[in-house]
Order: sequence, then structure tokens, then C-alpha cells
Amino acid sequence: MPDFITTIGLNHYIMLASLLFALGLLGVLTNRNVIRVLMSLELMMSAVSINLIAFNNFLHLSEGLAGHVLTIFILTVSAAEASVGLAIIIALYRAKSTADMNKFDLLKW
Amino acid sequence: MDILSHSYYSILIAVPFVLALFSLLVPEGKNGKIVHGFALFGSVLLFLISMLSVIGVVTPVSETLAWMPSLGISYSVSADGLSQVLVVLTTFLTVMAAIASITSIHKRVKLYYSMFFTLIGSVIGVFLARDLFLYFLFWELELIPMYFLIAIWGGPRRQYASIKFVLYTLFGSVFLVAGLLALYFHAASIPALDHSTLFLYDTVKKAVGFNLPLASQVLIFTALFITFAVKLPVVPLHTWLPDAHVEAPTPVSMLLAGILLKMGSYGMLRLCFEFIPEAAKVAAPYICLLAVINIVYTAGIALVQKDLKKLIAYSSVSHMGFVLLGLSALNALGFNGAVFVMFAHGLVSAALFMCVGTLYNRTHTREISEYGGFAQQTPILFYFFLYTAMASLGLPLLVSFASETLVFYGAFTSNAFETLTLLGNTFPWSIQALTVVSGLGIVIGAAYLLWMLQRVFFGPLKEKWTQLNDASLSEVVVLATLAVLIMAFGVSPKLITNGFEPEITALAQHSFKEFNAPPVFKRTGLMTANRSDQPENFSSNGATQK
Amino acid sequence: MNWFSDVQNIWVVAIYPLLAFLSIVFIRTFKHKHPVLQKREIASGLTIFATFLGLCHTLFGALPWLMVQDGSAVSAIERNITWLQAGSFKLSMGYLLDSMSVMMLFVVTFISLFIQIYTHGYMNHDKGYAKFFGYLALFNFSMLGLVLSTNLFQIYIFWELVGVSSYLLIGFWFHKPSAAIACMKAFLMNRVGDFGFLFGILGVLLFSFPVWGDYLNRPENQQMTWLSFQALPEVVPYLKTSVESLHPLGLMVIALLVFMGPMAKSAQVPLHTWLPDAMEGPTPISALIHAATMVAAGVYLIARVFPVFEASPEAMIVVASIGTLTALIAASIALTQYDIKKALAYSTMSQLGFMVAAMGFGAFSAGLFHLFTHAFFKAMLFLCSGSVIHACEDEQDMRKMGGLIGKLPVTHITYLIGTLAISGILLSGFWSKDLILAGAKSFSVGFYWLLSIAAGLTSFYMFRTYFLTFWGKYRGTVHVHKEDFWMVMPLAVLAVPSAFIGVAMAGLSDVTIPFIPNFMAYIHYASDAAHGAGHASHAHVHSLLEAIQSPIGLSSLAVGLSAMVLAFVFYVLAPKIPQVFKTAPITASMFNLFSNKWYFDDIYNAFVKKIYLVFASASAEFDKSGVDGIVNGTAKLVLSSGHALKEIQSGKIQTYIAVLTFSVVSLVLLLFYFMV
Repeated sequence: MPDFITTIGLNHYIMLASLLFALGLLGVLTNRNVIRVLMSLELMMSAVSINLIAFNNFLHLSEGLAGHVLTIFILTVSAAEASVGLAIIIALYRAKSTADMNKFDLLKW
Repeated sequence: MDILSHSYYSILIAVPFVLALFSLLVPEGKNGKIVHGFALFGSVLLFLISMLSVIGVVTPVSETLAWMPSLGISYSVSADGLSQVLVVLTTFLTVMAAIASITSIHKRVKLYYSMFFTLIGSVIGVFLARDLFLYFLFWELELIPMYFLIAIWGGPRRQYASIKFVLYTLFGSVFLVAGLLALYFHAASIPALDHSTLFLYDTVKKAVGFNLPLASQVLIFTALFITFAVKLPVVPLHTWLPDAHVEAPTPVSMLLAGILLKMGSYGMLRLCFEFIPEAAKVAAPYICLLAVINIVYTAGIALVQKDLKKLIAYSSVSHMGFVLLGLSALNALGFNGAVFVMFAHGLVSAALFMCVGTLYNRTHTREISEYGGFAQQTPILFYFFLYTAMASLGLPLLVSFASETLVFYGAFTSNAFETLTLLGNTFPWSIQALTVVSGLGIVIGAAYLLWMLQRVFFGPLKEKWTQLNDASLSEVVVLATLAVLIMAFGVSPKLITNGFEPEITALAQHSFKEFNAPPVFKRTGLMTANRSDQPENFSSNGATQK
Repeated sequence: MNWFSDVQNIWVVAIYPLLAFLSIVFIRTFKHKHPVLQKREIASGLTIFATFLGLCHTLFGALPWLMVQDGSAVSAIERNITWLQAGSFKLSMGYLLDSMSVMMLFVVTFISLFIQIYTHGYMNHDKGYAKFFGYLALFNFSMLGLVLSTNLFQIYIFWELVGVSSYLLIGFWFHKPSAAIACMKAFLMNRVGDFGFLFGILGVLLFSFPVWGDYLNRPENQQMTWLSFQALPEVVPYLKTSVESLHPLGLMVIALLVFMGPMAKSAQVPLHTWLPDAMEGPTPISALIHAATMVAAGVYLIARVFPVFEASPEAMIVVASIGTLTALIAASIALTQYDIKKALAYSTMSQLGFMVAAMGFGAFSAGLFHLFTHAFFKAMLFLCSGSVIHACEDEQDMRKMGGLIGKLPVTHITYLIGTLAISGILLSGFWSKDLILAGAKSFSVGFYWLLSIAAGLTSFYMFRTYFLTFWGKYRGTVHVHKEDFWMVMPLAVLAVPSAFIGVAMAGLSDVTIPFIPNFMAYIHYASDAAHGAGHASHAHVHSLLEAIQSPIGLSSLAVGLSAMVLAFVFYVLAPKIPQVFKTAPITASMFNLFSNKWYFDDIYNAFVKKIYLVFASASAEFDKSGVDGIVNGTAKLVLSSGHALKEIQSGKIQTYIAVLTFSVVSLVLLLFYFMV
């Protein structure tokens, strides 16, 4: 068996994170529903978190848990962020009676 | 009296700004009567102050104060004959415009007068400044009130006209900044000069004569010329003017034609011709060509205008061409003529716009085809219009004739150039040939004015105008005052030319020495300028030996 | 009396009418203030009085001053004041008194006075009576200023001023569209002439500029100024040398540019079309301005700058040709006119052609003598026509007149005198025309024949108007009024010089009348004798009989008389003959050419409307869409590029993110590519 299948290394984590990030990005870019976009954003955030933990594990074995701490921190913030996001979505929904991303174009000229 | 004479010029500049401030504070009164009265009083006061030095009550002293010495900027104001004439013209037309405002400005009168006086103040500043930075400051300041005067009190297309005016002038100002900075940095590179007053006119003049290559001189000259060409205006940079005139209310039109255009010609004479004479000699043929185009081309356009005010506006552009023609002659006659045309044009065009405004106030239309037969209905207005039109088309003994005569005599006897190089081709167009072409302007000028008079005033009266009133008292006052002056300076032009003639002649003879002798035609068959100061002895010529 | 006899005061002759004009303006402005001011006779009184004072100055000051001097060496008086100055160059105004200006002063003041008296009768029922007299005073001022001018620049000033007075007076009845157009046309056509005149003056100045300073510094020339007429004989040789070093025909160009002024003012082909139209003005104006004085100013100007013309033989030939051509063309058109004033206008034009041609021949005195005699009889003829028109209630068509002999006796007699005079049948016109013909003959025989034909035509069409108006049966419908005293009196006065002034001043030894100077003795050009023209005919003619019996005199008399007889046949004995000529194939085409005024008007109208106005409209359009198009185009370009770019900013976050991602990825790839 080749080594990269039997032994799980940093590359695997990075690949996973990349895939997850790409998936999230795809979701952000293509989804019409604003809730789904928010969920995809969370996905991207998770990818980042995975990266942080993986790098912490494989590069700084003895030096503490900075990556983990940061991940925990991100989780907390993203929870807050999700709630703020949802609140905005609700406000938007109230204003526009829709959750369609294409309808939200107030940022233009 | 001492204070007055020591800070006379500063007072002249400051008074309009103070008036601008106060006209905001004065109560409006019924229909703005109090403000109108205050403004009229203020403008008369300003005029009287400006007359003090003319009649010799005060002998003003030029002032120079350090302002930002580290940058070479100083506050310096003074006046020579040229500035003096233009300042008096400005203050006089201010009074006229203030009277004209009574009948034509009805809304937001306080704001109007604050803008009005700010405009006057900055124009006087331009004429009196003796420091390029100060000059530039006033030059730019003038834009703001003018923009509002058109944009708030203008006609239906006022937005378009005012923005066009501002953008055009700013376009010109870009070149002004470039030119000024070029002059500044050149002056700064000369250790011999006083670096705390680098912007001073005298310093700049000295600097230009000091080691500045001709190519750079021409470049700076061109940049400055473009700025003033916008203001003058020179074809093809003239299209803002008809629009601005058509939209501006009558008094603003009077000021625009009477004074603001003079800022362009003043700048041209002062900054271009006086500061950079070497470049002027190179540029003279092209300026002359532009002058001819200005005169003939816009006169032709005026002929076919359907809008009365546009017609007058184009005629105004056409007449400003004579300033250019006079300047391009590069001799004393031409320069004096150019300055005199500035003055004459100020009076005549203001009177013309007053006439148009008076007509418009009654009919609320400017379409010439709508008019007809007014001579019977409004004889007073007719006579004034006729008189002013006659003045404009150069009737002798009225002021335009005297000024344009000087220009023609100057340009025709000039030896500024014999050929004109254009796009690599050399044409045998001497200044004489171009002057003859520009002479067509006096024919076409007569044509459009007389045709206009015929269509507006002659023939049978149209049914709808039978209720028309003749000119009111305030309008008659303006028109009559202008008419009297137009005749006074036309009959005795020395009254005004004595004010600037010595200095302008000295300028021409000093900076353009070789052009001041008349051309002498030799037997060689070629026109050769007589480059010496001594004209050939008459008696040594074959002429007297019959 | 000292005031009048002192010739130093002669300049006030021009000032009187100016004061009259200004007072009339003032009084009319404030006429509502006091009932006395509303009396319109104030205006006529002031104007007439001003002219009368001027006449007094001429008769008691200028004429005696002239006559005590020897005609061949009149010491002229010139005074100048500087009007405008730049450097050493000066433009001045002043007055010049010499034999020529005295002659013109007399013509202008004398004729003006009687025409103004006539005007009182003629315009009595017009509501613009006072205004009319104001304009008349303005005209008198300008005309007298022109006469007294010392230099080319000053004469240009008054040249234009008479033009504007003429404009105002032609357009006096401006509510008539035809008058409104006529006055504009007159002014514009004169402007075209003035354009040439101005550059003619400038040409003279340019090529003689260096000599003036020295010339004027000489002690004997202290009184002169730049461009003085008196300096021309001495300056012109220099001018000629310097301009001909540039081009051999240079002086001709300058002379002809100057000639453009007279061409317009004296209605010479091709700048003549304004004069017939100018008849839209009231008749006294036609008599004063467009017959006697202003149109003759052109000839006067040529006389003033004669050294310039004389120095250029080519220019003289052109002037002579244009004069002759005008005489012929105008005479041919006059044959076909039915409007009595138009016919007289063409006759004026034709006679001006004679004068100009005379100048071209070098027959200096002859031209001015014809100017002198013509002023009297033509003014009178116009006044007669005015009297007729007045009597027939503003009817001007001769086909609706006829048979007025009994109804307007004085008018008839004076008109007959005028007709005889202009036709060259022994009365004053004979003498001056005779001199011109003599000048023509010594210049070139061809011109002599052409002018003789023109003289014959003159006689024919003048008698045509005479017979049509006064003979036969009355063909009109309106009641013919009686003659007005104020109108008849001037006619009677003017008839005397019209009849006799020619013979009295023609320089014949058996006709000398006290107080009447010999014209030729005083008015002549220095080198007339050398040229032989002008003087030639009378050099050997000393008596009345000799003059009439000389070949030129006899033939011109014969031509005049036979044309008169022919007109009698055509218009009294057999009135059908003209119809035959109108319909016969060859003559019909000629008739069309003549009655359409040789199509000059049509050509000019076509030029202005089809070419110049189209060109002007095109340039206006170019200005609007071309020049302003670039400006507005720039603005539009900025605006539309903004519009195009703003589409990128759609407001959709997903798009932004996509762009962001794409950019980041491509940047990373780029970085990667360059790093490796």
C-alpha cells in the first residue's frame, strides 16, 4: 500500500480543507437562497478551522495549542456571526419579502 | 486720506466682499426693495471709490506684503493704466448691472447680491493683483459666484449652461496652473532672485528674461494663452459663451460680456505678451489667424441666429476678435487698439445686452421671428437699440469705431509677420492680408445687426404686441448712461486712451522694439522690416524730388 | 457780420446743424414737460435756421475769401486737432478751406436750405415731421463735416455718418417693409464700399508710413496732419515708389480700393443697386441726399484724393470705364421705368457715371462742374416729382399721371427747365456735360461715343418722363390737389441756377456776371493743363457762340434735341410705338434686360441667399454640432463610459465574491508562474 494511503498526513487535511472551502465557495457563489449562502459561508469557515488545527498538529507539535484555541475562538465568533447574519436576513426578508440573493442589490451605484 | 492712499487698492478689493457679506445681512424688505437699494448704494460707493484715483483725489501706493514667504507668495496689489481702466470699467458696469437687477431679479435677492459682489470683488482682484498666486486665487474665485448666478437665476437650460461654463473655465485653469508653476519653478532655479517673492510679477518678468529657452517660453505662452483663450473666448473654445449668455439674467449677461471677457484679454496682454514677449513674437501669426477666424466666422454665425440674445452673444465674440488682432500686430497702435477695444466692448456689449434684456422682460421670448414692428410700439427702446447697434457696428464718433480704427490701423501697418507656417506649409499670408479678411467682419457685422433691427423693429406691428410697454425709468437710466459714455469716448477717445496710452506704448516699444518701426518697402521687391528706430529720412527719398 | 466774414469760423457751419440736431433730440425727449416744446415747428425752425446760418457763412465768409484770391494759387486754410494718438501716430480732425470745399459748402447749404423749406410743405401732414427735421439736421452735419474734412481718416468718419443719416431717412417710413429693406440694403452696400475705402486708406498709410513724420515736421506743414489731402501731391510719389517695388500694379490696387467708397456712395456699377431702392424715402430726401449732395460725395472724394488716382493710369482707365458703364446701364434702365422717382434715380446714377468717368479721364474740373450743376437741376427735378406725387395723393406711377400742365403750372415749368438742363440743351447741364465730353474725346474717342450715346438716352428718357407726366390726358383717378406755396417757392428759386449757372460759370469771356466766379478758374487740378483734359475744350473757346458751335457742343446739342423729338414722337404723337418695341423679338429681350435692371439685384440676392446665408448656416451648424459637438461629445463620452463601468457594480454580492475569488486565484497563479 502506498504511504499516502496508509498514513494520514498534513496533505490529507489540506486537501480536505481545500475541498471543503471550494464547496463552500461554490455554495456562496451559486446559491440563490440567502440561508444557504450563510450555511456555505459556515462551511468555508470550517475549512479554515480544519487547516488551523492540522497545521498546529503537524508543524508545532510541542509548542502548545494556538491553532486549537483559535479554532475555538472562531467557532464562538461564527456562532455570533451566524446569529447576526440570520438577524440581517430576517430584516432583509421583512424589507423585501424574499430570501433571493439576486434581489439584494442595494449596494450598486 | 493717508490711509486711503496707502491701502487704496486693498480697499478697492475689499469693499465688494464686504458688500457681499452685508447684502446677506440687510433685511430684504418688500419685494427685496431694501436689498436692491443697498446694493445700488454699495455699487455707487464702489464706483466713487474707484474714481478717486482717476480724478486725482488720492494718489494710490502699491502694496506688497509678505504672505507665505517660504513659498515665494506675497500679497501685492497695484495698478497701471491698463488695470486702472479695467477697474473703472468694472465698477461702472457694476452700477449699471445693479440698476438692471432691479427689474430683472425677483427671487432670493439677498443671495443674488452676495454672489454679485463676490464676483465683482474677485474680478477687481484679478485686475489689481501683482502676484501670480494672488492672481490665480482671484481668477478661480470668480468661478464660484458666476456659477451660482447662472445656475440659480438663469433661464430654462441654466444647469447645462452653468456647468458648461465652469467646466470650460476649469479646463482653461489647468493650463494656467501648469504655466504658473513652470514660471515659478524656473524662477526658483535662479539664485539671483529673491526667493521670498517668487510669484511677484516683477520677479517673474525678470526670470523669463533670464536664461529660459525659447521652446519653454513658447510652451508656457501657449499654456497661458489657452487659459485666456477660453475666457476671451477664442474659436474653437467659445461655445460656452452663447449658452451662458442665453441663460444668464440680463445684469449677469452685462457683467459677463462687459467684464469677465476682459479678464481673458487682460491676462493675455499682461501674462502672455508682457511677460513672455519672445514667445509672443513666435505666436503672433497664429494669434492673428485665430483673430480673423474669430471675427469673420462668428459674425457669420451671428447672421443666421434665430435667438436674439445668441445673436448678440456671437457678435460679442466676434468683436473680441479685434482684441486678438490688435495684440497680434505687436506694435503700439495695435496694443493700444486692443486695450481700447476691451473698454469699448465693455460699454457697447453691456448696452446691447441691456437692450435685449429690456425686450425680453416685456415679451418673454427671444425668438427674432416672434418680433416685428416694435419701432412704433416702443420708440424709446427702439432708439436705444438702434443707437447701440450702430455703436456696435462701428459707427464713427461712437466708441467702438475709435477702438477698432486703432486696431485696423495698427494691424495693417504692422510688420509682425509676412508668412504663416501651418502644418509644415508656408503660406504667403502677411498680417496685412489677414487684416483685410478680418475687415469683412465690419461688413457682416453691419449685416446681422441691421437685419436684426429690421426684423425686430421695422415693418408692421404684430397684433399680439399692441399692449407692449416702452422702456421703464430704470432701464432708460442704464441705457442713457451707457449711451452718453459711448458717445463721449467716441467723440473724444483721448479721454480714455490717455489713461493707458503711455504705458502700453512703452510696453510695445520696449518689448517689441523691432516691430514698432513701420515696414519699409524697398526696391528689392521684398517686404523688409525696418529694424532700426530711425525712419528713413523723407527728404533723402526720391519722393520730394520731382 | 464779422462773425460770418471771418473764415476761421467756417467750421461752425457743420456745428450749427449738429446743435440743431441735439436740441431737437433734447426737445423731443422732454416734450411732455411743457406745451411750448410740443410745437413741431421748433424742429423745422431750428434746422432751417442752422442751414441758413451756414449759408451766410458761405456767402459772406468763404466765397469772398476765395474770390479775392487768384484762382490758380488759392492758399488753403487747414486746422487740425488731434483726435487719437498712439506713439507718434496721430489721427486728427479739423477743417480744410479751399476752392473745392467752398464750392461744396455752397452747394450743400444752398440746396439744403431750399429743400428744408420745401420739406415744411411736403411733410406737413406727416406725424414724424419733427423727427424728420432732426434727421435732416444730422445729415447736414455729417455732409458738411465731410466737405470740410482735412484728411482721409476724417472723411471716412463723415462718410459713414452720411451713410447712417441716409439709412435713417430712407427707412423713415419703416412700417413699410419695402422701406425697411431698402434702408438696410443702402447701408450694407455702402458698407461693402467702405470696406474697400478703409483698406484703401490703410494702404496709402502703410506704403507711405515712414515719410509722414518727417513731412509733418517741416515748418510749412505744421498745420497738416497724417493723411492730409493737401500732403498727397508730395507723398504720392513716395507711395508710388514703395508700393510699386512690391508689385507694379500696387498703386492701382490701392486706388481702386479707395474707389470702392465712391463706387458705393455714388452708386457706380456694380455697387449701385441701393440707390433706386433708396427712393422709398420721402421725396425731399431723394432730392437732397440721393441726388444733390451725398451721392456726389463720391466724386468729391475722388477729387480729394486725385493725386493717388492720377499716379496710376491703370486705375484711371478702370474709373473711366466704370463711370461710362454706369452712365450707359443706368440710362438704359431709366428707359423702362414707370415710377417717376425711380426714373429720376436712374438718371441720377447715370449722371454720376458721367462725373466719375470725367474723373477717370482726368477731366477734373469737368467732373466737379457737372457735380455742381447737376446738384441744382436734379434736386429741383426731384422736388418737382415730389410736388407731382403730393398733388396726386402719393401716386408715383407715371401711367396714372398725364395732363398736369394746367393743374401744376409752376411745377411744369420748373420740371421742363430741369429736363432741358439735364438733357444738355443749352441750360446748365449742357455746359458741364460738354466739358466732360471734351475730356472724353481727348482721353479716348471710344469713351466719347459711349458717353454721347448715354447723353442721347438721357435726353430721351427725361423727355419721356416729362411727356408722360405733364402732357396728354390725365389718366389717374384721384383728384389732383393744388400746388402748395412752400413747395413751389423752392422750385422757383432752384430753377434760376438750374437754368443759368452753367453758362454763367463756364468761363466764357462774353458772359461775366458780377459776384459769380469762373468755375474753372478756381476749381482745377494742378496738372490739368499737362493732361490737357477738361481745359482743352474751353482753352480755345471764349464766347457763348463759339462754345455752341464747337464740334462737341454742336453734336451734343444735336443729340439732345433729336432725342427730345424722338421722345415727343414716341409718347405724344404715337403712343403705340413703345408697345411695338416691347413686343418685337429683338427689342423685347433688350427691354427685359433693361426693365429687370440688368439682373444685378437678382444676382446679389442669389449670392446672399443661396451662397452666403447657406454658408453662414452651415458654419452655425458646424458650430453647434461640430465645435460644440466635440465639447458635448467629451461630456457624453465621460458619461457613457461611466454608465458602462457602473454595470460592473451590480450590487450583487455573489458577483463581487466571484470576481474576488477569480482575481485572487489568478494572482496566485501568476505569482506562482513567475516564482518558479
